[in-house]
Amino acid sequence: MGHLELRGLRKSFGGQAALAGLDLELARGELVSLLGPSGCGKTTALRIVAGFETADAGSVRVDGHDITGVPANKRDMGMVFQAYSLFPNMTAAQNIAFGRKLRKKADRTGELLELVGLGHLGKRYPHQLSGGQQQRVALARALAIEPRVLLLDEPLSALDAKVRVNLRDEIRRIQTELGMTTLFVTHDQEEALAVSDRVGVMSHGRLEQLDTPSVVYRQPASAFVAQFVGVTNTVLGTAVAGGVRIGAFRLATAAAEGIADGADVHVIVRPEDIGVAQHSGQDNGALVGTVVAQSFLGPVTRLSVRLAGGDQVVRVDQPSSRAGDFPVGTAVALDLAAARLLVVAV
Amino acid sequence: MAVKVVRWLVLLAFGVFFLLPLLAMAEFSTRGAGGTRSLDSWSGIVTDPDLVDAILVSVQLAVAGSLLVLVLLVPTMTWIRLRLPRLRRPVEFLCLLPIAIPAIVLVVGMAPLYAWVDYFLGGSPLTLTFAYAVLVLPFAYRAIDAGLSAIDLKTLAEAARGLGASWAAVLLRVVVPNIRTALIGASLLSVALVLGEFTVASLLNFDTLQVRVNLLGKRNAGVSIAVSLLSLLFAFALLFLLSFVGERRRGAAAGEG
Repeated sequence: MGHLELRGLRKSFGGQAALAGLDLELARGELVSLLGPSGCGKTTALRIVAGFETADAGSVRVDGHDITGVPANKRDMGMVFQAYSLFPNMTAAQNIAFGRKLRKKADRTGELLELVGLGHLGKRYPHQLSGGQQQRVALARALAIEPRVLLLDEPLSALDAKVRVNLRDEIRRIQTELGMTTLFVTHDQEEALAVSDRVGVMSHGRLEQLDTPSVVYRQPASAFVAQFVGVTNTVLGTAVAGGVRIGAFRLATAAAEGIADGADVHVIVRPEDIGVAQHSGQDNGALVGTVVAQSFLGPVTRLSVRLAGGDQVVRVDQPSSRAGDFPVGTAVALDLAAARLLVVAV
Repeated sequence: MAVKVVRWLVLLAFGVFFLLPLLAMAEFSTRGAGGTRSLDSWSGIVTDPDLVDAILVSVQLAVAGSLLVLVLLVPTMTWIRLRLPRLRRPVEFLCLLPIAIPAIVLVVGMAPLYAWVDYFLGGSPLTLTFAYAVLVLPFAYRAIDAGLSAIDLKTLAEAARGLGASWAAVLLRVVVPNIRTALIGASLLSVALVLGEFTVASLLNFDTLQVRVNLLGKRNAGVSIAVSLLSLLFAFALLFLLSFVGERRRGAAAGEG
């Protein structure tokens, strides 16, 4: 039995299904991220857990107790919102104390301010704090009520890149320190992969895959997951016995098993899984193309390679130190690491 | 430089436009016999027991009317924004409707109702509170609507609910403090309107400040003008006081950092 269980959650808005039977289970102390594009239902799921939306069907259980019909103010869920949600009429300390005062619990404001690294800013009002500081106070406020589950609704999306990375690491540190069961909703794959014990990728109100970050990244369960998580190339090919054919290039791979010979397929491969070498000009059956652009991304440089005999462009990552070997216009041979391919019928 | 001069000229023109009638009223109400100055008209205000009663009734009506309209509107408008957004336009229309209906028409409609009010609650002039709540509805609605639009009501309410607040606590501890300026504005508009209202009170036969001023004007123009000037000054003082309170609270909030 999980600490937090969502069973068969369904929710529609004006006939449009936001959740189409969501099942999810979180172990105590686990941080699970729900990742997906806008409209996939991840925020709706979180709001149903918080009690701000009512599910059309299904149930929410905490420690085995059904809380589906319990009002939001009786659920003991700590939530950090995407929008800055501190009460403008209260100081940071008063915001943190709000929930405990309602519960008539002893004040722990100082301790919580220290926990989020803002011990000296308790007397400031929200408008006197930066966005990152406001979200830290919001986190402390959510933790102050000693919630059964911590709910994070894209709490970092309004922050600039550097603050976002710092705060996400802080959230993970605090969550691990307190052993707090946490459901984290985000559309930022890097964020989800960096902080989660498990990542649930959602599409059209359903979980496409729920697994550890490395499995989701390395072994995507579907084309959607592969394309949504990380950067991928989708190359059009044809299934053949024991592999796939892309133009004149034939690649032996078990990834195409079960797909009828001659069927059109998408070969999905990540830029870092493709090897590249200068092409000698001899036709040795390799996948060849020409470098048409370079993008410097810091430690790696992304080459855009137009495949020979067509318009398909494949992105290939190379260490930036080697990028000089492949200036624009260079003929290159690509080496697809067959074990890391995903092949799906079109 | 030219812009500055124009600004000062505009300010001066408006100052004269607004102050001149007030100065004229002050001058008229202090005229004594044989071209002398006298405060007889002003002292006449406190020596006229009917006038004092009327002032007290109007002040009570202003306070009661403001409170009633705030108590009605704030929870209703908050709930509509949070839970029933489809009702926002119809409710807005209903609330703004009284501004489009002449007071005389309202009285014609209210007169039979007031026969029942008189029967159940007695003939106290304070029963005018109900009529005045209707009259101030459009002004109070607009002020509160602006206040609610200026905050992220949904997120704040959800944050408070998530922390364990009942709906009453959400209203009193989160919504009201954060729309304080709007509430002050709504109260001020309500007070000013009630203090200056004549038609409804007169036609429903209640003795309020403006009704008494009208009667006095027929008998003693000096006292009538003195009372009118006093009520205007009272409204200005109230405006100043309320805006000062709002500013002071904001300043205190900012200063605590």
